[in-house]
Amino acid sequence: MGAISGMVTAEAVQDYVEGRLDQENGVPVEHELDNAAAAFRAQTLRRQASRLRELGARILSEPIPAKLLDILQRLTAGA
Amino acid sequence: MTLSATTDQNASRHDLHDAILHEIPSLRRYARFLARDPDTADDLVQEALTRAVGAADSFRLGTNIRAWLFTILKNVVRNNVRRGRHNPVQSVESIDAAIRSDPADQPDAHLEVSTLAAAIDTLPPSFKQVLLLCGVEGFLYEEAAMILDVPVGTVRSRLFRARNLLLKRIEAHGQSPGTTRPHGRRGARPQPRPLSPRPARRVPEKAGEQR
Repeated sequence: MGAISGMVTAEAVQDYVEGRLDQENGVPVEHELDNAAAAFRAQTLRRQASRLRELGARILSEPIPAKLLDILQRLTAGA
Repeated sequence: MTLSATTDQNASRHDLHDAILHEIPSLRRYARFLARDPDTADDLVQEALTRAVGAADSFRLGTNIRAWLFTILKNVVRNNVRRGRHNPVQSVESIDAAIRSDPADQPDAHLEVSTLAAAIDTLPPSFKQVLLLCGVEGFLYEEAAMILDVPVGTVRSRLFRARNLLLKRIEAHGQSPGTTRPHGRRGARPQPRPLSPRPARRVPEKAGEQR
């Protein structure tokens, strides 16, 4: 996990993109985003994250198979 | 408090029914990525749901039900692999079209998503699971750690390595790793631009808190 620029590591950029850094730790990364390499890394990871969230979108809108719904009915059967 | 101990058990069972029902599409997607075959994937989800329903009386209200269900499904998949009933070795072309799907009005995005799906399929299983949980399903590191029964640091590290592998494999595929390089020159980088607003910090949920 080497430094991507200055004191900021590629992992820190990932944490930043994931929204996991608090103010104290996020500011140094934000500052480093003036650096082209860090900015490119953040931009790439954000694009990748966006595409990942789109994966399998069609599955989410598929009708749920009856055999799966039948199992759930056991929860409320006789209720 | 368990469901059986509540004063309104029937209402709680209906709540649990609705909560599980809400998660089935995501469970099917996760299983589809791991099994690759739609029928096999639904068999895995079916087994997971059977276990979940069977354990309903021991389900504790306030538990993160989404993480609970994914944990059960993860265990079902793991056991299936151990029993040799899981057959992950297929051609890239066999990846279910539904996984590769994306909005039809974005042909460029379709190409990227399709390549991304194929690249994910080549990841080591442990990396793939973390990427699917955090990257696709949106779990926090802490939740993925609970599901996979590994330390949070391991999740972070695996996600980092998985993302790097994806970028390399997509580049090797001859496609931009998620962003367009100027004039297609390898190594050329876009001018830095402000990336604000900075995303809000995601506060981990309290242990046991329901999503």
